[in-house]
Amino acid sequence: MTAILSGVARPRFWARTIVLLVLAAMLGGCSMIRHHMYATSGNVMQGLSKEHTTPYVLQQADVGMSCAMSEATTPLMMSFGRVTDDPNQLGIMMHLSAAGCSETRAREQDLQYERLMRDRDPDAAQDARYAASRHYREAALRFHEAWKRMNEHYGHVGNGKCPAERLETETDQFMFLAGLISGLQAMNTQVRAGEQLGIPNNIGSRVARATECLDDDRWWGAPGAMQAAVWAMLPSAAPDDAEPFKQLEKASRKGEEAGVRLAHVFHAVAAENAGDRAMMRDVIRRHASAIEAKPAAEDWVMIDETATRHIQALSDRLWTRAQGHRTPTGQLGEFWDDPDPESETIDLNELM
Amino acid sequence: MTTLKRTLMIALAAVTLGTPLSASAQQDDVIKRSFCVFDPVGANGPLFELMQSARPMALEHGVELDMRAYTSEKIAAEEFRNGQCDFVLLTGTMARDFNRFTGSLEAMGAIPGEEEMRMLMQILSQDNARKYLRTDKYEVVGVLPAGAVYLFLDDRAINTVEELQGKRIATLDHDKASITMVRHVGASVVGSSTSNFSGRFNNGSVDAAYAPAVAYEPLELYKGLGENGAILDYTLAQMNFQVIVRRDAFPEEYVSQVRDYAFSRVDEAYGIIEDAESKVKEKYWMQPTEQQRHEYDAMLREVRDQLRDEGEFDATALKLMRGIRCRVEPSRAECARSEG
Repeated sequence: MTAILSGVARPRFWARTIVLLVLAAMLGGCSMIRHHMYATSGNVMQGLSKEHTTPYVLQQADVGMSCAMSEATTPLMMSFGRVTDDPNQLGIMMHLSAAGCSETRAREQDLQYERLMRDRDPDAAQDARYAASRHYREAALRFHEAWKRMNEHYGHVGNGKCPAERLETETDQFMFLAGLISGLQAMNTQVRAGEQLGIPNNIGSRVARATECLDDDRWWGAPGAMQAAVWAMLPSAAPDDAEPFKQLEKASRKGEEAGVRLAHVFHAVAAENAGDRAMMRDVIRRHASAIEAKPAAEDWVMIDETATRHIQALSDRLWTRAQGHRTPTGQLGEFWDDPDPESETIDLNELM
Repeated sequence: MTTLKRTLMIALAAVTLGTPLSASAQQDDVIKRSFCVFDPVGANGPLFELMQSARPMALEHGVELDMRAYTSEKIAAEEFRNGQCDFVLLTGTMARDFNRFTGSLEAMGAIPGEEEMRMLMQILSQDNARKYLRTDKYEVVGVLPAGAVYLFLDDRAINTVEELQGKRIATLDHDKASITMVRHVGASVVGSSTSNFSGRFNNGSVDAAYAPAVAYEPLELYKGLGENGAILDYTLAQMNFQVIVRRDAFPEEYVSQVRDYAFSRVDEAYGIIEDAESKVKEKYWMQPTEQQRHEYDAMLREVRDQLRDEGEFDATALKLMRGIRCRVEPSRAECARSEG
C-alpha cells in the first residue's frame, strides 16, 4: 500500500499518465475526425454521382463502359451507407446498370444454346442453358436490389399514393422510372433463372399502377409502355377497358418522336410474349428505321442505346434460331426471309 | 508412291464426304414435334420456361420440339385436339377432356395433402399404372402438382357452409365439377376465367373465390381479402398440370422416357408451391374445427360421388385416391366402408 502511494507521488508517474490521457483523447478524436471525413466523402461522392456522373453517363453511348463502371464501383458507393445516409436513389441506377452486364452475359449463353440446339448437340446445349441461368440469377438479384433500394427511397411503390414530394426534380423522376424497369426485369430474369430467388411476384401489378406517377409524355411514352406490357402479360391486373397493344402502339410513337425509343422494347417483348412474331418483327424494323432517321436525344443517349441493345438481342434470337448466327452487321431491322427489293435489271449489253 | 498418294486422297475424300453424310443421317433421325404449353403469362411465364428444359432432353432422344406458349387454355386444348400440337400442357381440369382418369385427380377432397399427392405421383409413374394414363389416341406422360386449392373469403364471418349460401363465388365456367360444387353448397355461380376471377374477387364483385397459393401474390388476392378476409385452411382439391401426347406422333420408347423425366420434376414443383404458400400472411389462415373438417370431407365425398355417377369423374381414379387416403390415414371414417 505504501509502495503504491509512493509511486503515485512520483512526477514520472504523472508524466506517463498525462501522455496516456492525451494519446487516448487524440485517438478518440481521430476516430471522430475519420468518421466525419468518411461521411463528408460519402456525401461528396453521392452528390457528385447524382449531379454529375449520372447525367454525364446518360449522355454517352458506351453501354459496356457504363456497365463495367457500375459493376466495379457499386460496392464502393454503397459502402458509404455505413457512414452517412444510405445512397438508395443512386443504388437504383447502379444496380440496374450492373444487372445489365449480367443480362448481356446470359444472352450470349442463350444464343450459344440456340446454336447448339441447331447443331443437335444436346449436352452442350444443356450446359449453355445452365450457364445462362446462372447469369440470369445474378441479374435477377441485382435488379431486385435496385427495386428494394427504390422502395427504400420512394416508399412502398405501387401501393397507395404517388410519392409526389420525392418526384419533384427530373432526376428523381428518372430514378423512379429506372426503379420500375428494375422491378419488371427482376421478375423476368427470376423466371429465366429457373429458381425462386425471393423476388415478389406482385411486382408486375405494382409497377403497372406506379407508372401513373410519371408524366408519360415527358418520359417518352415509357411509363405507358411498361403499364401496357404488364397488362398484356397479366390481364388480371388490367382494367376491363384496357387495350394494351393500342397503348403500346401509342407509346412507341411517343418514343420515336422524342428520340428515346425505350417504349419499343416493351412493345416488342409484349409481342414476343403473345407469340405475335409479325408484330415483334415490325417493332424491330421500326426501331431500326427510327434510330436511322433521328439521332438520340442528347441527354438520354445511354437510354436510347440500351433500348437498341435490347431490340438487337431480340433480333439476334430470331436470327440465330433461323440461321444459326446473330443479326448480320448493319442488318438490324432486316430478316433472312425478307423478299428481295424489286430493282430494275439492266442488261450489260444495253450499255455497251 | 503414286499408289500411296492416291490411297491417301481416297481416304481423305471418304472422311470428308463421310462427315456430312453421317451428319445428314443424324438429321434424318430427328423428328420434329410441337409442344403447346398453357401459361397464363405467355412466352415469358414460369411454366413455359420450366417446359423449355424439356427441349435438350427431347433432342437427345431424337425429337426436336417446337415450343409454343398459349395464354388461353381452351385454345391450347383445341389445337391439340385438332392435331396442331403433338404435346400439350394443360391443367388437370382441362385434361379431363382427353383422359377421364387423370382428369379426375383434381376431384374435390380426393387428395387431402402433399403426402397423399406424392404417393399418387409415385404410383402413376410405375409401369403398371400406364394403362390408366393412355387412351386410344392420347397418353398422359406427366402430372405436375400446382398445390392445394383453397377457398378465399372476403369476410371471415363466412365460417360455415350455411354462411356460404347465397354468396357469390367466382367459378371457372368450363369446369362442371366446380359449378356442381358451388351449387351444392347453395352459393351462386359467377362464371369466370383464370384471367378475370382475381379481378372480381379483388374489386368485391364476388364474395369468394378458390385458387391455389401460387395465385396469391401475382394476382394480389390479398387485396380481395382486405382486413376482414380469410383463407379456409382446408384443401378443396389438388390442382395439377398434365403433359399429354398424341400417341401416334411418337415412338413408344420416347414416351416412356418423357414419362420418367416429367415425374422426376415433382420436387421442383413442390419448391415453387412451398415458396408461394410461405408468402401468404399468417393472419389470413382460418382453421376449421375438427368437426367441420369431417363435415367438409363428407360433403365433398357426396359431390364426388354425384359427379362420378354423372360420368364426370372416373370411378377407378376415385377408388385409387380413396386407397391412398386410407393408406395415409386408416382411421378416416370412409376407410371402414368398402365402396369407392
